Amino acid sequence: MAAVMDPVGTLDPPPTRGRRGVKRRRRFESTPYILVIPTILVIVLTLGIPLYKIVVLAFQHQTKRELYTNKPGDWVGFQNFSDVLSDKDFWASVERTFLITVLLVVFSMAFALGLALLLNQVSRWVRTPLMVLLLFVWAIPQIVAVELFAWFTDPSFGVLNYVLTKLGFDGFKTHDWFVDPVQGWIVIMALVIWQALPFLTVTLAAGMSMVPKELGEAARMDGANPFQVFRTVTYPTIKPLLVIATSLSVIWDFQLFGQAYVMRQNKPEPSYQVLGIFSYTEAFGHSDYGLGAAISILTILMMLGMMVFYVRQMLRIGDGD
Amino acid sequence: MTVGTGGRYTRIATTGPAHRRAGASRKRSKKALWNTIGVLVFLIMGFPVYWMINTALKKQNEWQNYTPHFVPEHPTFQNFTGAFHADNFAISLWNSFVITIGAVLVSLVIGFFGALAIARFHFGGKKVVIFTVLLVQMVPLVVLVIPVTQTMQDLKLNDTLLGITITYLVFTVPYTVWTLRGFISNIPRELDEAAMVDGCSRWQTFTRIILPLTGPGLVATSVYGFIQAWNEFILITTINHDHRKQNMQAWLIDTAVGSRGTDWGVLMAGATITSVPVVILFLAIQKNLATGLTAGAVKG
Repeated sequence: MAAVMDPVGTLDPPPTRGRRGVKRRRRFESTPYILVIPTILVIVLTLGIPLYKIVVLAFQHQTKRELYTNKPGDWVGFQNFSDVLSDKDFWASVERTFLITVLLVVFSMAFALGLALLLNQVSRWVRTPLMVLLLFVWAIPQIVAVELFAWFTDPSFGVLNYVLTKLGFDGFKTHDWFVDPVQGWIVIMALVIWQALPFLTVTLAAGMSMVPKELGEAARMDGANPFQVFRTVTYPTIKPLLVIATSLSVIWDFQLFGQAYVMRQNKPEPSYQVLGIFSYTEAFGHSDYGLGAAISILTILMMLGMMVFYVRQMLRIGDGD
Repeated sequence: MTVGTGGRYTRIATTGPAHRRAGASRKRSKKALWNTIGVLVFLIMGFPVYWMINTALKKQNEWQNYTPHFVPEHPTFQNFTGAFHADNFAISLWNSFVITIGAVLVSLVIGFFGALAIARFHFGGKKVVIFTVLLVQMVPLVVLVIPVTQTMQDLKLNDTLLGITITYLVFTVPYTVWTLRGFISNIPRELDEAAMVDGCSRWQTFTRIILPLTGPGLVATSVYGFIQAWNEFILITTINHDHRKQNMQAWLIDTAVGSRGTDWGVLMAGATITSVPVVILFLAIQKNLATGLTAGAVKG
């Protein structure tokens, strides 16, 4: 049973702890710094400076004129933040973002888990085409997928309306899926989940293939039902992968932008505004860059707040080397 | 790590011929049920891909039809030639390749050294480096649009491919560092030490021992980097206003919101062409597919 309790151990490389204890000579080592300098330079240039600018921007009043003439805006202190925090549109999009994120993460993880379990059950002639299909779906660029789903749901020539009408549903002949935001979001979420499934499924299926067959057989011999086999044998093995897949899903789904933005032809209606879109339209649509910056900073803080656990876990792993 | 080991049964569960037969037939009917579900999933998930190619092969009078044809009646490649002759298509495709390959190559070089530092050394500030690498994932690209646009204008790098390639390093480099770190930490340190005992210098150890052993990791990492850079559209559409300096994603968006109504045939042909390079890369590395994205995170 020890192996069942700690099957994760098989993921790790052989322990090197004994060697690690042997301290190298204690002098200043310049090698790691030389190695890491290019990375630091890139991050400072491409992320550090922009982030610094965005923080400065958040405390200024900047419009198109200042942006393009590169004049600094007027300092307004916390004005932008208090404007944002007292804006009910902001809170509506915060609420919407969290709701959509939860729905997306739950559904995509559930489908991915189901699909991964299915992949381990089906015959080879079914599994191979499914895996190849997953690769194809994975390879479809986001924008392509958006246009694809837009074409599906086209009111006049879309195949979705045609099929629904054929199946006997009334009122779908020239149905516009994006008038009612609930229906529109269902289309967008279907699109996001369809695109997320390949990565999540392949990751989880890879984890499941590491579960020793004998363990499952042994558990079944002992009278465990399929659910118990999953809970005691499969789940402990894939748990680390499950945690990472869920964390990455949260990160990606919270940042949802392109799918909703492009689906609404770059002019999303208020009910399609999640945080990313809200900050973008405040900044570029209303040319109030300070306000957009303030929303961006609040978004990053929310994200970090949610992901404290994940960041700490990753820091621990990375620092352990 | 391959995904294809399931489905073989070890017969330790059966004790006699009679048992085996009964058990086998129950297994068979269960298998049939799973296979049926698998085929259904395949059809549903695959339909969008099929429909993209299906539409791309139809003439306008065929796709512009209230009763869609599930098999094109008069398949034609004229949408593909139409796409190649459409405004800015060829240049956008070319730009996509230049920017993506540039960003991936630069990230691989920089990222390999960064990953070495994190995977093989303890140094002051290491945690800070790791944290910033992780922070990038948490920062939505939309956030960077305003300041990066400003910076690129200051540097006179807006509307250039060089500028956008540098900009893309913001997500390709940290990703490469983190993923390669996972691959490098899986190489036993004993190998480095043995090489150094045998007289290799530190740098020779990096290039002769670790670099070749990281090979599969480099391939997987560059494919994922390729996909990210290939698919990006927010930064490029805001920083480069010149349509001749944009990529395929920007072309697709422009074509979709065209003023004369969308030509879905040409759009789907363009979409198919845009997907092909990534499909090819994926099929090429499918064995290592699963390890890539999570290698950095799971293994330590």
